[in-house]
Amino acid sequence: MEKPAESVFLNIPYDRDFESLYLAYVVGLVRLGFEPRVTVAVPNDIGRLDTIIDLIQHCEYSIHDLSRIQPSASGIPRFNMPLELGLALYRSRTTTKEHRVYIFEQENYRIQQSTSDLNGLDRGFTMERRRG
Amino acid sequence: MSQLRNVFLRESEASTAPQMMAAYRAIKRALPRMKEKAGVKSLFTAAVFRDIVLAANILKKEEG
Repeated sequence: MEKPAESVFLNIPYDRDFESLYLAYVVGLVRLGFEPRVTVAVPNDIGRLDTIIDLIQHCEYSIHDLSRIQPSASGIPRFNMPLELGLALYRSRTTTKEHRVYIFEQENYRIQQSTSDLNGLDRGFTMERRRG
Repeated sequence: MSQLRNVFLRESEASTAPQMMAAYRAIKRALPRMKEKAGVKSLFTAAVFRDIVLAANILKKEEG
């Protein structure tokens, strides 16, 4: 009997500039035998935050792509993604590795500056933003 | 893709990085049709997500 695929919560920015990387993550994870889970694919019956918590609760892994951490067009920084990273880190910490967290960044060592509380954890992984 | 593969490679029969890129390109070409079928303009919708996952699984099975 085939083992059910482990699921991966994708914490990524949902904007047009990120479409190619979103597609790459989803296709890549399926091809590696995982089940990607994203908030946009879940009915928003219980509210967005509860949906995210539920997804993190039921996924073995999460990917947090922090390669786009610049302020939004309105000039106001968006904190949704760091918030979701915090939720995932808490679950990882309190469940003795039932949930593993992977952080992808565009530039090496930038995360040590943007999110210095993460210093001392396993290093994040760089994923270059490429088309194709 | 190669970074993702480095982190998440678990199965010995998992796709290679070139196979993953080929699947990515094939599905990217099919995206306009997927969006049209779903009646949406954005990629970030439940219907398009399901079609992407389905297409990736079909391509994987076809390659054996």
